[in-house]
Amino acid sequence: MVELTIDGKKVSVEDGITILKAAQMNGIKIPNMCYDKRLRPYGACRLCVVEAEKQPRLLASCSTPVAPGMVILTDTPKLRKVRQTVLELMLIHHPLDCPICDKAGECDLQDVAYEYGKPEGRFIRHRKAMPPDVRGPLVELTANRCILCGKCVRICSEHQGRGALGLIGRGFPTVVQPAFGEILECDYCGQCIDICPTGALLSKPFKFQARAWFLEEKDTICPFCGCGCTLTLGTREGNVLRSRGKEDNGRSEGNLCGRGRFGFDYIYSDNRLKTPLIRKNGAFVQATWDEALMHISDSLKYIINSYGKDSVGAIGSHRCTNEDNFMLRKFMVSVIGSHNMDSSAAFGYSKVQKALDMAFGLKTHSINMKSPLGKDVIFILESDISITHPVFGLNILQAKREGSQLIVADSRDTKLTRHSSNYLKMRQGTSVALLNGMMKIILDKGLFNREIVSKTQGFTEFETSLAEYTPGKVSKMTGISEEELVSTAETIAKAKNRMISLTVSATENTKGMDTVLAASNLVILLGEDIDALQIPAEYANTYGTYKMGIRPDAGKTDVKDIFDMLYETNSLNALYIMGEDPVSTFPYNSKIMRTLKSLELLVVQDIALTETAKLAHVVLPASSWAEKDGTFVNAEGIEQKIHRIVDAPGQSLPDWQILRNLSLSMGKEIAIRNIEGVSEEIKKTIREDQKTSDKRVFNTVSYSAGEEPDMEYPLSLVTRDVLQHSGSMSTRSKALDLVVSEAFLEINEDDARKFGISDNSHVKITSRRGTIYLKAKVTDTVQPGTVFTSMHFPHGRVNALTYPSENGAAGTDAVKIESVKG
Amino acid sequence: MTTGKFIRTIFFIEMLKGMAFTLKTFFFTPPVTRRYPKKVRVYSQPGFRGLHALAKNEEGKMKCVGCGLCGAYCPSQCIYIYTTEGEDHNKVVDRYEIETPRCIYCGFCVEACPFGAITLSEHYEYSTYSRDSLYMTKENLLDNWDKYFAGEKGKRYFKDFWRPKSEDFNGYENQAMFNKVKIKGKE
Repeated sequence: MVELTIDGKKVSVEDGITILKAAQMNGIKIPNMCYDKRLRPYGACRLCVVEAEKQPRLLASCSTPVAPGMVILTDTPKLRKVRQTVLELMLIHHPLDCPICDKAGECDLQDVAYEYGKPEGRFIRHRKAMPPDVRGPLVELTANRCILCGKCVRICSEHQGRGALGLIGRGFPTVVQPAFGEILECDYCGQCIDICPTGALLSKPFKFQARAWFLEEKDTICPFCGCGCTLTLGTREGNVLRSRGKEDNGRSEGNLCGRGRFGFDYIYSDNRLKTPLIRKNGAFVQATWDEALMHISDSLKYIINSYGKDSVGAIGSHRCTNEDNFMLRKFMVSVIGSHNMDSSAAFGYSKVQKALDMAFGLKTHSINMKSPLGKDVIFILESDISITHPVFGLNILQAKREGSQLIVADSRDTKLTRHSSNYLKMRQGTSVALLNGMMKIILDKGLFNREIVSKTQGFTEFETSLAEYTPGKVSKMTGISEEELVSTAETIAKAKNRMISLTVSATENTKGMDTVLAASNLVILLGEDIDALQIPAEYANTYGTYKMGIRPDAGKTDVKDIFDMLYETNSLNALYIMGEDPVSTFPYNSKIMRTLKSLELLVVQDIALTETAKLAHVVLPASSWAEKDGTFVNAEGIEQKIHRIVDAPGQSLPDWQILRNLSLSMGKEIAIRNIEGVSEEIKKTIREDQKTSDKRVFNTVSYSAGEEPDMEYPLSLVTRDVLQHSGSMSTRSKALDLVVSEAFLEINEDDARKFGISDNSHVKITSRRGTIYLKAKVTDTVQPGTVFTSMHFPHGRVNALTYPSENGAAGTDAVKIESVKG
Repeated sequence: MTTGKFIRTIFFIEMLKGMAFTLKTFFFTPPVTRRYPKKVRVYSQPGFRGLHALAKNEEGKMKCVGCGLCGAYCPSQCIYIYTTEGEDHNKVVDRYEIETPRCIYCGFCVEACPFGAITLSEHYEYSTYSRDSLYMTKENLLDNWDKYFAGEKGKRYFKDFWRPKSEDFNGYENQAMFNKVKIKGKE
């Protein structure tokens, strides 16, 4: 600790921090323009200068470390004069176009100029006269307003790890630009917009929409991935106009990705449902709530009477709040009397859960967003966390910057592989073989505590099962060289502490339950706690949906799970789908469609007319995330409130309210009047999770390939997420569709040549289950023999090719492709 | 009771005096009030704050750029401004609306405007039977400029009284940074 005096206040702070930080920690404000706590000190603006006793020079407080006994003055006439001059110099080039600048009203430069600025300038100005760069889809660059603090450039390269912007030129003509003055093509996270102290970088969708002082800002939780970031939504007269992150606000501490920042406008998509629809003679007819609910309750009663309670099933949703999912459960259990419930978690989080239950005896698994920090070795297994969970990914990048060793095993180049210390280029879907091979090396070299670990249940079987995974064989399976395998295994085993992370979700087909089991084995083998394994739940409320009991094992044991409900015809007679779109997001959609068409009653409750809703008998309009109160549980297991910010369109209602009304029309009184009532019920019924357990079990896992490429289907299809999209909900956002609006097939240059495919040409892709047509993108980021695509887009129908893997193995698909001429 | 007082009481002298005064003022003096719709008083006080108008420049285009400072300043919050991005990426004022029944005619909007775009005219006779017609849209406000500030009158009145800051500025493209400095070579 260091003792020093700032403005007459004696403070004691940690050694090595800067004067500015010390002052901020003690509530003393020093004006600054180029400092951000996420970035390294830069010292560009010189506004943060302070006086120190016995120091002839002024010190830039943002980059001067504290020293014992320092006496600092932060606001003296001399400093004011200096700051005034600094501002005067900044304002030489800054155009005073505040009336048409969207930053006005929340502009750092405006605020500082108001406080310290001089009423007149002494210099002849040379204004930059560059037209604003409006070519990019989401970010607009106005070089004239830039004061060259370099914050955007630094946050892009240091924090986001992207480096899309640079300071181009020297001296006065310096501008912030993408390389060679081209169109800004980046992650579109928009962090540069938030961090810019002037209006040089602005959000395009928000351009000229409202002045800062007309906006009413409300905090809510992002509806996309499992990070659970806090969005600050700017609304005007009941319309959400923008979303931004506030410093130190929420789990994300102000960081946002492109989805959170630009994707909120899916609530204004054109095909939002406004009234209930009932299918009459094959076509949808608008109906009133009474008609629709009566129709459903009559049909349900008839089905229960003729086929029994177990012929009714329900699918919950990670897009809905805990309250909605809880009401669905209550409706199913106490009104229908059936336990056939499941959600999209069955393809991801449930698998993780099952595996961890087997290995660690835990019923829930939560991550810690800060866990990568301070870890010796971070091992990422065939996952692009900076795409699926961008803000968690930022922490991984930060840990790497702070000295952790980042080992990434992946089958394609991603942001994480670019930043990795070791990049293991592996064959797709071979994580289990890789993990088994590494464990074999650790076992053989004795890099674990045999005395303790050998007592663990299942160790002997586990050890013998690994016998076949010799480095040579694993090297052949995974495509990673033997030396690399050995050195990686040694690094991971010898590290002081480590973190192993991967993602499992419906949109990825290279990992399954086996992968999680193998990763758990590694963790147990190394004598680590479950904290070393970080597998985030995929979407905003996947964790909550699971916790609320929308899962097949919650009630009885002989219940039907999603594989029975959607992939087996005649297993159900009625299906109630809340906020889920199986036809466009779950694998093997032709089979799903066959099942759904065979149902006697299909009720879909959603915000828009989805592909699934088009097959329904009754469609009920629900409110979106911004139009209702409730709670989401993020991947960390933290419950966060979402708020009703705008009015719901038309007659749409919150999901829990629809289910309550439906219960009433079924003749069952549910004593719930309002959202607080639901919350109380939840508190009474749902038990808190157990977070620790002593159970450790080795589960023998053997590598089995999904569909291996053969002569007929020579390529392997891998599905992954695209950074700008999350599930199929974000594809309704106009802003995000400006960046990526359709599914595309990424193919290696060599393969493209082999199959005669050129960039942007159309390709016919056939698997054993279906055929689709996509645009090709020839790239060198994927390996020969594999093609990549994403499942988000309903029109892409990529899930016509894939199949659900029930047994836990990875479900890669073999496909053949043909170029489409003409 | 004295005799004099007795006589005054008996003959209603006091009342007659009063009646005489009433007779004189009511019938033989002209009224103080005016018969308003027929006779209109002519005001000449500069700076009377009446109906709002949106100024046009020499080319006849609206001066307002939609900066929203008037709306921010307005104590009764009766100014609504909606802007969007135009075809050549400039700022376009789609709607500029003033809810005049709520306006308190303080003139802060005029003072706040950096372009001298919003003004208060001397016109005050705009009461109507419908509330809707008191809700001034952009078109109404621009018409008001033509009606009440036509020709020299508006210019003089506007400059003499309000002295808008746009005098010091020269359009936002080449604004002088601060009042006192003029760009060299332009003088």
